[in-house]
Amino acid sequence: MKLHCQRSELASAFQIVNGVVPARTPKDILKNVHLIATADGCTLVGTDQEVGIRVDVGGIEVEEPGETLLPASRVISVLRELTEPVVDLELTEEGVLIRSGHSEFQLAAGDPAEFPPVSSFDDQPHYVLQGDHLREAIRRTLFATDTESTRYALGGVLVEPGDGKLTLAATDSRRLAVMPAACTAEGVDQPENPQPVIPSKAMTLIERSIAEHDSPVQLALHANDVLIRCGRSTIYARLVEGRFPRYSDVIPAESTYLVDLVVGPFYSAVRQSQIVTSDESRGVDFTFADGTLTLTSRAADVGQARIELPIAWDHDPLTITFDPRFVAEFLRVLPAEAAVQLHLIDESSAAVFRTDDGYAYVVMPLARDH
Amino acid sequence: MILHVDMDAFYASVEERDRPELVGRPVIVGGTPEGRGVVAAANYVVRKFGVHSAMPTGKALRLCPEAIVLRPRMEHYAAVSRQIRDVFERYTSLVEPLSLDEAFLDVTGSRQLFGTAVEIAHQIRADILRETRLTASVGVAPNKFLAKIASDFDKPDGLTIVDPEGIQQFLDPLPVSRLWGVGKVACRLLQQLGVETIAQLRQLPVELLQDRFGRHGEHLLQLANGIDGRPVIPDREAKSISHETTFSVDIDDPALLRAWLLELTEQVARRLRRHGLRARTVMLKVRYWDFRTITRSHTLPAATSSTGTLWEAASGMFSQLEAKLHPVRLLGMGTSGLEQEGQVQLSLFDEPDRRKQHNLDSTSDEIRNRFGTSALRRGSQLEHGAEHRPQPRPDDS
Repeated sequence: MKLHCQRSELASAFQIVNGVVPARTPKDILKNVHLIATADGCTLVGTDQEVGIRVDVGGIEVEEPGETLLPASRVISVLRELTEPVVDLELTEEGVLIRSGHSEFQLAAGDPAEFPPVSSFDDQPHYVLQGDHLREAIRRTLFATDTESTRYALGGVLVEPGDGKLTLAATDSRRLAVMPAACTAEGVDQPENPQPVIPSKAMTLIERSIAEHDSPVQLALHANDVLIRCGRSTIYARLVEGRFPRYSDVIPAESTYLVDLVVGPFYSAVRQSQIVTSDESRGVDFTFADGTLTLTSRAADVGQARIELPIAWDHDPLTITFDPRFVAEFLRVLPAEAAVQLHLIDESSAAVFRTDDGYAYVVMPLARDH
Repeated sequence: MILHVDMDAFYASVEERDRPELVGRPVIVGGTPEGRGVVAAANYVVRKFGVHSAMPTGKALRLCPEAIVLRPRMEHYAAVSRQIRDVFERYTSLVEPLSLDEAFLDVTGSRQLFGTAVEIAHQIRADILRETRLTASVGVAPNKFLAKIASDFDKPDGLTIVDPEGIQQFLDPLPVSRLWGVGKVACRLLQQLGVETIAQLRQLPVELLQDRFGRHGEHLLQLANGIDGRPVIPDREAKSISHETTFSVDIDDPALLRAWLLELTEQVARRLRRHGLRARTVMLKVRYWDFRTITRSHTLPAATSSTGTLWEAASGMFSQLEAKLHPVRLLGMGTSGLEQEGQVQLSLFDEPDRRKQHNLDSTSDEIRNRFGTSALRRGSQLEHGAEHRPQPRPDDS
């Protein structure tokens, strides 16, 4: 095997694959990246056996095809420290030779036959989405997952196939984020798994792999796993086992009050109120009264804060207490100028934030104990 | 210096005080023999017949047929207990109640204000008598273990002082059964070694004790030498709340052990709620017949005081042990990571469940506060006769 590579392209491909390479694992072989060079090009493969990725690397001239295992973290260090734009890779009896300018590294190479295979995206029924739509939907849901839940399958994002769209939903049972993404179905008639939950780690990889904004993403959902092709990457993930809660049941269909807010100033007020909270008193009181939303927080031994924001409100005052982190995390994924509608029922019912592009975010308030 | 204050035959004495016609007659406070109840308290008259607390009422009545059996009035006893607690708190803020009728007090910091520990003990006994017309026995000693033995030394209405210089003189002649953690089984094991008194125990090499009792062996030796470093921990500052029970006969029936674990869990949960606390971590402790002791802990996603949630965690840990269950000598359930109740984050998915649990807990707390702990019991606890009476133990942690 003998390759001539563009250092920056090889380095960025390694960075993406490194997203799945486990830092700690009893199986040392998984700390490697599998490099496959054929006459058509060069592919890097990494896996932790739950999530796997194949990345095609551009800018490579294959002089002699072949394959090898490369120790991921060491190769990344090498590529980061090298200064010349071109890097040569060669597999020899002694291992892999990496040469660039005046530097030469010889690294031990593992046996590629022992590396677990990662499926490639062959011809199969799949959905097609626009890359930037999917990326936005992932950004708006992924933060709400709960990797520690044992009761439900919350350690990932539900990707629910529907009519002309995939609905992404994530929750940690205290808040819920739901965002649809338009899609077309290619040869899919009946989804094999109506409620596939894609693990958070794979979702992060997908989001990072969507390079060009309008490039299409292909997504093939199976009973127990999922394959996604976007740009140069193909991502494989085993679906999260277990049941996702019936999320649509907990989105209130009707509400008593409706408040229009703009993300920027609201986010700023929430961040300010967060300063004076502690582990013991996480709650911030959101008081909606005549023309003003007042956020008040206080924590023993810390102090208190009071932030006001003008709103349109002509009902009786209503105070509802939220964990401000849950509100802030939602606002962070939206542009500052975006408009959101807040739907409220009372101080102990779910509150819903909605945007006009179909995004819904449900937060449960805090209640006085007993 | 530490004081251990122990009210004399508390429930029975309260009844005698309130109904003078009972004075001098045998009085039992407890469940009825028809309801298979047990003696919660016995006055000193009936004790002469061999009646003692935790004995089935039926048996007590066979020993003393003319005994008067009274239903416990827990709410009333709790009110009297609060009066007594108020007396303690005049002298020190370091009060660790063990139950309604006994408590540890650390008076080390109070001596400048109120005189020596012995003087404080006199004053406390006098205050209690004047304000409640009840007598208390008090032990004064350099640590909890000695104070506890001392209060029992001259009951009722006694005051026993253990000087730092006189510790060994005080302990040596006592039988080993006076040591915390030495019950029937340990007593028998020690007898086999020819040990009857604390003086004899003190002569044994630590290796031998470790061999017979595991880590507990070293602890026994420390107690025998009058060493006990545990501080008095006021309940509201408690870092953990736990209950454990040592069985009179080792148990290997998982169903019976589960019934006991549930009983312990209920008591811990009740105590949490009474103090307005919630716990984040649940602990399980099992000591096997051979004194091998294992502990397991589980951290919950959110702090709770709900019996149901705590039981889920405790029973889950117990299930994992069940496969390797040998006869069990001691079972304990504890909670730590305590925080004050405040705001609770409501959940999207299990709200009705949580509310139901909460209503169930507060209703059962109310029933028990009014009618006594045994007024409401679970089927499994009744079936297996699992009823725990909190007793101080050497290693409550």
